[in-house]
Amino acid sequence: MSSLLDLPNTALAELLKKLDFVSIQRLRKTCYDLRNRIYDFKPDPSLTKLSIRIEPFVIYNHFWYEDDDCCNEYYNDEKGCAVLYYEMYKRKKKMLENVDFIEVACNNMKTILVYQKSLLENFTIEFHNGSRDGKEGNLENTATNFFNCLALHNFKLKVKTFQATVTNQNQILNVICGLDPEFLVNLTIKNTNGNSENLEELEIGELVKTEQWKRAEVVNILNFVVDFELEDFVHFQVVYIAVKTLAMEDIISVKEEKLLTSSSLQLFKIRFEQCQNEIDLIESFGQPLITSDQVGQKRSHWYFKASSAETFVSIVLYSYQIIFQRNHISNLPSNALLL
Amino acid sequence: MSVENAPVVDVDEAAIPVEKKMYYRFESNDKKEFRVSELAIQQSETLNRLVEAMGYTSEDVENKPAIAIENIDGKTLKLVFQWCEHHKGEAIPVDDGSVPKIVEIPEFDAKLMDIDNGLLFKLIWAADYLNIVQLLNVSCKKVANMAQGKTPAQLRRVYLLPSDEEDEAAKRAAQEAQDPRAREVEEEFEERKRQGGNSFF
Repeated sequence: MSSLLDLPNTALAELLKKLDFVSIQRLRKTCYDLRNRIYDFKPDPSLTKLSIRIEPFVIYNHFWYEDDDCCNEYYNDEKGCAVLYYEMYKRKKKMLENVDFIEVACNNMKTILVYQKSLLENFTIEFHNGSRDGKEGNLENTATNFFNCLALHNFKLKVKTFQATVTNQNQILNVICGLDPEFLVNLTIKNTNGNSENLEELEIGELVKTEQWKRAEVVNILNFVVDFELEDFVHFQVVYIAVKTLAMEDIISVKEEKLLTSSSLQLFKIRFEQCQNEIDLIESFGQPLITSDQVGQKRSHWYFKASSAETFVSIVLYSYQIIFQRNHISNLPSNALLL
Repeated sequence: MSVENAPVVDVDEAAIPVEKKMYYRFESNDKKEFRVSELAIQQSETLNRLVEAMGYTSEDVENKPAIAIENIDGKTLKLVFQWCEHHKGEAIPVDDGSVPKIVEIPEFDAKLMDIDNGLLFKLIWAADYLNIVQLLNVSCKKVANMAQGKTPAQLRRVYLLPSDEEDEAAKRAAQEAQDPRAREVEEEFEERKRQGGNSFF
């Protein structure tokens, strides 16, 4: 009787090409021979999206394939690691004794990530605080063990959009080092602790030195304030950041150095908690056009000629943010004065 | 008018007489004979090269013994040649590394492959051996379709695979029968099992 095992490698390779990654993983579980043979082929999982959430006592991961998805939860348990997973839409639990939940989670992720060769559209990682049995966990310890175990710096994942929800710069650095700088386009950083009256400061001194930062095109930093150095942002097309205090020199230098001369920058939004007196701007830019938005917020507009005759640059100042934007000349308001 | 007698200049290609349709004779390992058209043979890179190298004339085909295909049985070879005859003259897909995952199984092929899985695996084996690209494509696609939404236990039944326990027992029996001191091999096998096993949920 002929079975799948009798097929030569070329035919098996042809079959694996036609199977989705989840089916291949199920096939790996059928028998040793096939497992070893599939191992030699290193099939590309063709992940499209990956999301990981790390809490002090739990690691969640969710993998999206072309036409399937799969999620696992790894819990720190007194006896070892409890794994929750889905098989044929049924939630199942498996208890692995005397093993560390971080190690199990990382090893399983590695078996998939090591084969990923195609472009991953979206990679999200989140660090959150959490507790178990009323005991507060130490997120920093779990995160450190997670990074050591997964060793992302050994990977060169091709990721287009990367989103990180973090408490500090270190967490971003430990993940971003595993992404291929050539493919990263969008970078979003969020604060684990969410929005608050007084935004926490995010150090970015090391992050801005990475190749991934230097080659990305869009950056969003939400619910953090950052120390704003113009040079670190000049290469982006779209920037959304918040600062504690916005100085007039910064505004003027963004306009002069960046918007009027650069061709890449399209949109630069800076939120601020305080801004130096607006009158300085009127002195340098002239009288603005004043309008109100739907909720009655007052806005001051200035319009400038750009290096290309087809575009102009607008600066809109609100009480809490300033927006620099490059626009096509046809969008210039009729009552605007082009400076 | 034969090609040799045609004037050297002014050769009109359309005027060259169509060569008589040629058939080749093949024999399976259980001595079943098949007559296959030259055009159908072109679907198989292996057989096509073979007949080109042999350079048989129509007389040779009839007088010399049938070409033996020693590792394929008659039942499988019948399916292979039926497929080749049906698809003769069709372009052979080129594998340029960007193989599309979407393979359509035509109705004829679906009917042809409406067979038990043991025979289907033999057909794949033959398509691979004879290098019939499109037959390998559709037969693998059929096998791939079978895997959709199945658990490992169901896959084992569909693909006629042994379970880990059976696999291990069979290996041990084979090893002990062959060489009672084959411990080293077994240890290496155990090691691979530990590395590869139980790592996906």
